Amino acid sequence: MITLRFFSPEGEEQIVQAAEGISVMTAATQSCIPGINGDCGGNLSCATCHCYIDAAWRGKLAPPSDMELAMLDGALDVTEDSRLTCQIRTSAELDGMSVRIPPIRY
Amino acid sequence: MTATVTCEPGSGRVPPELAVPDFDFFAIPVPDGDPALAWKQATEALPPIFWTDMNGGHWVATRAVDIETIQLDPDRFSMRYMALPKGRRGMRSPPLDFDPPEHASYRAVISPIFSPKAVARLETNIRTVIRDVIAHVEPRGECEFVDEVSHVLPITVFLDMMGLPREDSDMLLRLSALNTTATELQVTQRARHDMADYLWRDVQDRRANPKDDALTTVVQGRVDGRPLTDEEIRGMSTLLLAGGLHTVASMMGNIMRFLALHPAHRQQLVDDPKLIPRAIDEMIRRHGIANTARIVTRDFEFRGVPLRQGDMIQIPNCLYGLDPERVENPLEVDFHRPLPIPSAAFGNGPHRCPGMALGRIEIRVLLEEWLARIPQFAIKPGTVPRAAVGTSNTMHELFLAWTPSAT
Repeated sequence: MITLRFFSPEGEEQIVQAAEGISVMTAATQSCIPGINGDCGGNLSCATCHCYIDAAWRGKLAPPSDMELAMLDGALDVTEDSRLTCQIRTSAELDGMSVRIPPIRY
Repeated sequence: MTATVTCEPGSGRVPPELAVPDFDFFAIPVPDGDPALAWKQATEALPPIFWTDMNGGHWVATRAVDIETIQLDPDRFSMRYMALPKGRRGMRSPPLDFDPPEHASYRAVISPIFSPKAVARLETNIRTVIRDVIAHVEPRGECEFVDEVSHVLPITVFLDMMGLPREDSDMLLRLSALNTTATELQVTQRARHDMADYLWRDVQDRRANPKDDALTTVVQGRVDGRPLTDEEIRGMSTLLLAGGLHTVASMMGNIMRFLALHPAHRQQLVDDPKLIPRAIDEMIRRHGIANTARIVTRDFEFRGVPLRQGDMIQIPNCLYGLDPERVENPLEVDFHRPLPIPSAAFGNGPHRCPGMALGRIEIRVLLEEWLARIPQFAIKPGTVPRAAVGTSNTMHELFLAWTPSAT
């Protein structure tokens, strides 16, 4: 198990213990983290698991694929920190990673 | 309402302590317009998973831990049949009644309709529709909220999204009501086919004349590199119609009934509208709507219960948010409950409701606009909210009253 730290748009921290080898989106939706919907189940077809990963942690991740970049185009509030969390696999290396949730628009 | 009589051999092989043969969810009494509470009261003295012979015969799972496990395990609990009585729709409705991995290809067709950007673009239209409705009822000082407000919004938003004429809303609402509340398979299947037949003329139109609307997205959709078949288009377009009408309207009814009865909660939202999104999540937890089911894919023992291949198992999702093992003081609504607010109201796992953001935005804009115009309101004296349990927990009648603003 590793620890993921989700931060709401207001900065409220929610800690999630996640198994290794699942996606960050799955870890978030299984804990009902508000703002991470994962509507398509991790199939790169909805952009509802969009989050921000700070540069310090982003360096530990594989860069986004062309398909991920195309889907991010359908997301809101995209910045250079934007990633789709369904494309990030949990691993020991990501223990303690901060995941910031974009403004919730509903 | 009559129950279906197509009892499958069931209770004979069910351990007697797990059999509640005459439990008919369509007949759960809802004396005060609170179906989620009625579900809790009707099931809390029963075994966590029990069998009934009614509505074709099915199991009912009533605890949060089991509801969640079943939602997340399509290998053992398939979506192939997920409405009661079994065979309710009479047509397949992709992606809803498909399991992974097939599910994902269909889901990818409709996902753009609900992308964050697409839903954000709808907000202005939603706000205009809601303002018009409120302007219409406010001077009267009372309304029947279900017919005059909550049913108007989702159908109008749906018709606009699909590029269909608003004049068709009354006819479609009648079909949607049958789709949600009828129990006889002939009636529910007929309603579903009537919806598909209604959409078919426009489906053919969009093939010839693609437009910038959701129906075109479905008609032009491709799975695994091939165009959708006619049957797939019928199923998917009908699902879009059926999925967001009574569900959203009933949630709005539940929420407005709650706020009418709880002035202190209402005042918190009037004083601080920024609290509205979080309050919506909490009220959705307290008032889950959908009473879906799954079909068991093989014989196995689950929590000591002998399930058989082909058994239907119902997971009333309101019971998830009302389980004291998952939520402290579950009957209490607390807008400051610590996050995350546990809820299965939109489902969990790959089948999570694609219209979740859209439904929430409709409810948020309703509350923002309503509370700005009508901050004080109550259940109209002499009336009682009328709700019932069906495939979803449905609000049928909710009279609200207030003092009209001076004009």
